[in-house]
Amino acid sequence: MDRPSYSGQALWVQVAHRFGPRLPEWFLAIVTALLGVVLLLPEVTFDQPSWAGFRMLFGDENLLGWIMVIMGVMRLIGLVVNGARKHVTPRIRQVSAGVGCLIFVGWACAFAASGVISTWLAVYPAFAVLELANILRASKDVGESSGPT
Amino acid sequence: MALPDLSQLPAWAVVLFVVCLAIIVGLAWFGERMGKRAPPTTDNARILGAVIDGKKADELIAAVGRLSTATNNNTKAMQENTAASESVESEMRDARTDIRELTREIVRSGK
Repeated sequence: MDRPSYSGQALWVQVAHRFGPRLPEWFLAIVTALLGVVLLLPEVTFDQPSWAGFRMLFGDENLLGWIMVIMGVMRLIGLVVNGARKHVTPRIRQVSAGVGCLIFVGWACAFAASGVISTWLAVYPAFAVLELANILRASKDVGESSGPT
Repeated sequence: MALPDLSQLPAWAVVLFVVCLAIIVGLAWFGERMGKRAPPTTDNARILGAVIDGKKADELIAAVGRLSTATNNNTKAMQENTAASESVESEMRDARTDIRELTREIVRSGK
């Protein structure tokens, strides 16, 4: 009777049940994918002065765009899998939050390298801090699921 | 598309990255320890206006899942039962004709 994952309506109920506490993770996964989509748009984003750091590191914005889209989509898939499984797998969330934190720190660093002060200073470092909270929360779940010492 | 040229990264950025990595690993380790020490989850859930214990809500979800599976199995059994009844009805209809013919034969033979 005990199946490893939910299906049909039960799957939706379970994903919805776990959605609330994981809202920041869903939000940042969508932001990651959308940042990639914006970079893949025909307009040349890297030509703007505040993107000089990115231009220096990546040269072509399509590379970064695809990396971001793939990372975002993978994280979303991870969250769906995590919500669908009967026995949660917080390790996926822990790793993806760690990678997300490094991505947003990287973005903040690349903007800082351009020497242009703009709204990025209020956004990406805050996202990185939010990812730290996600890491702590996912790690707590890892500890709880592996049982007391 | 060429790979990013990380040699162009300023030294402060590399140091910041290493520090971040250390914070991430430290936080993960600390979080796991906290989780191992923490009692089972006590998050409350609100169902039809009533606040119930999170563990009970999980049990309730599992019970509803089991009930759904049992109902599906029951429906399948009922369908099989109906099919069997229809088969019996068809057999009886055939048997009725045979019995009628047999009765006629017996009457004709005068026994």
